Amino acid sequence: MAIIGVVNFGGQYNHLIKRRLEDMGFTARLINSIEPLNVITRELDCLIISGGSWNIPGDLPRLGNAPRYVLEFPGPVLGICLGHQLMAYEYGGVLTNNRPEFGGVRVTIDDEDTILRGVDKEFTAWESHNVSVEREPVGFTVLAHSGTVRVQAMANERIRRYGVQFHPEVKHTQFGDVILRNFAELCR
Amino acid sequence: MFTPEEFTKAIINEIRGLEIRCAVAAVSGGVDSTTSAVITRLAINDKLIPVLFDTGFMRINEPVEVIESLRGLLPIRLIDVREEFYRAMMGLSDAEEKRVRFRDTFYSALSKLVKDNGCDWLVQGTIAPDWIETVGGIKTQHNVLAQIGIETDRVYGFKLLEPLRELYKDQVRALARFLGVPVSIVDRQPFPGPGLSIRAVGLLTMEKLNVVKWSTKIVEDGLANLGLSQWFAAAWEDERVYDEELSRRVKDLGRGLTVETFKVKGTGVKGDSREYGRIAVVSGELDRWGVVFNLYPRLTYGTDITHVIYEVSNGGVKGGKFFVTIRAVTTSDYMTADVPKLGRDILIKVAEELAKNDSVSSIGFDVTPKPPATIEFE
Repeated sequence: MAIIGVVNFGGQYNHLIKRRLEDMGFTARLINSIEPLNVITRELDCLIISGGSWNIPGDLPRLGNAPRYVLEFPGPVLGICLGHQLMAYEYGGVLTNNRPEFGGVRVTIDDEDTILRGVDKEFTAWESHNVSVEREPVGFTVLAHSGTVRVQAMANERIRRYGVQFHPEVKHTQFGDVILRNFAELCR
Repeated sequence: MFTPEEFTKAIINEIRGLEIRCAVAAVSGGVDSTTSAVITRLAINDKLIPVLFDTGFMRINEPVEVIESLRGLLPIRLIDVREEFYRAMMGLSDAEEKRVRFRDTFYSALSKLVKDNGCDWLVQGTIAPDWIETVGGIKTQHNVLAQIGIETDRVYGFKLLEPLRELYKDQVRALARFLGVPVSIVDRQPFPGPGLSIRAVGLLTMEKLNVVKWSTKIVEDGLANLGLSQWFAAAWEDERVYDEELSRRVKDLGRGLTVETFKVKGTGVKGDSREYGRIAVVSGELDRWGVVFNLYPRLTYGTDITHVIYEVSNGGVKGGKFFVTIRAVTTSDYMTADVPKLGRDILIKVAEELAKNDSVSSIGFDVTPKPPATIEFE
């Protein structure tokens, strides 16, 4: 069975991602970002890079090998919150720290793709961030926005890189399970 | 995947594989600690000694009610440690100081009890969000030791058994039902380890604690059977300062709206970091009641504000000194929490009851989800 790695940055919801995936019948494993890329590549089929209290780019040195995972891991990668920002940064996008969002936020889909398939055009997502993505990297498509943040979700289907600013793993995010399942299905 | 049957089987096997002379289980009557004790008892029977500490920070009559409702399932010993806890905690003000002092007092008392009974293990109801919040630096949960590097064997003289450490609240409830724990305990709203000491926000005094005890009863009765996950009262000194910049942020939502901030601080979680920031209170007429649920983004984005309170009634002013806040949330796993869309009428009714206490100056309703607030104030 495919194994989904969840990179643990000590964020509030990291362990919850593992639980949600297991509830859906997938196999997930929390991993530390000090693991070398070749070990990650050998043992895991896809990766979720999740949230944490660090800021990009200031705290990049604390993220271990995670920047390399984003760029070089051969399987699909989903970035959530901090992971989404890291993905945007590593591929050349632009971040900002003056558009914070906390709690429930209305998100509107601009362009449906693999991970947002089956989600209503407008839904409530739960957020907890200070930093956000202002401009997506070249090659990425913006999939959804909110009143405050233009890049709520983005994807580069060709290289199987996906990012969401909100937290699909928390119960209060509508269609959160659908989004996680859409990604997890890519790992099989 | 978690199922109560599989989990029970696996944990009983795991516990039977341990070398246990005897174990003390600290039971509060909450679903986590009760279920931990029940499942451990299935594994080691009478080698388990379940105890309930009356810390003085529990709700009115709570210790006796808990023991009564678990009669038959767990033979719980009641231990009165009120003196010790009051001596250790009264006069503290800082949220983390209270939580850490509570934890230290709690384990000193437990350590003695374990030794006196010749036991070598302590069973407790730590669940996943407890250690996630403690390790993540959001707040110190009183039952988290091993995960932050405290060697209980050396410091307290017992080994730690935490059968539910990987579970979330909804999973614990499913397990509790499976094990035959009474419904009154399964569906009981969670209660923080340090109890009402952290709902007497800021400086902890006997006077404030008594206001909290009294208000808790009124809010629990007044908002019962509404499908809420957690609902309670908190109190602190009604000392405020007007904030012009914050008032400007909300002025288009009603007439003559003002924002003040309290002297005491409240705990929040923003962007995965703890924030111990100001508590804001909005007073004045809103254009319509529904707007009350749109206040928090205006005041918490880009500021240090962690809780936003709407002042429901100031009809109680009789020189009372405590501001009482009604807090209510809906959630299944307590990792995130939303504010229920309660009507104004029901809140005013509860506020009128609360205003009958001469120590109360005014009453508010907390309209902040988690994040950016936490469910509790400290």
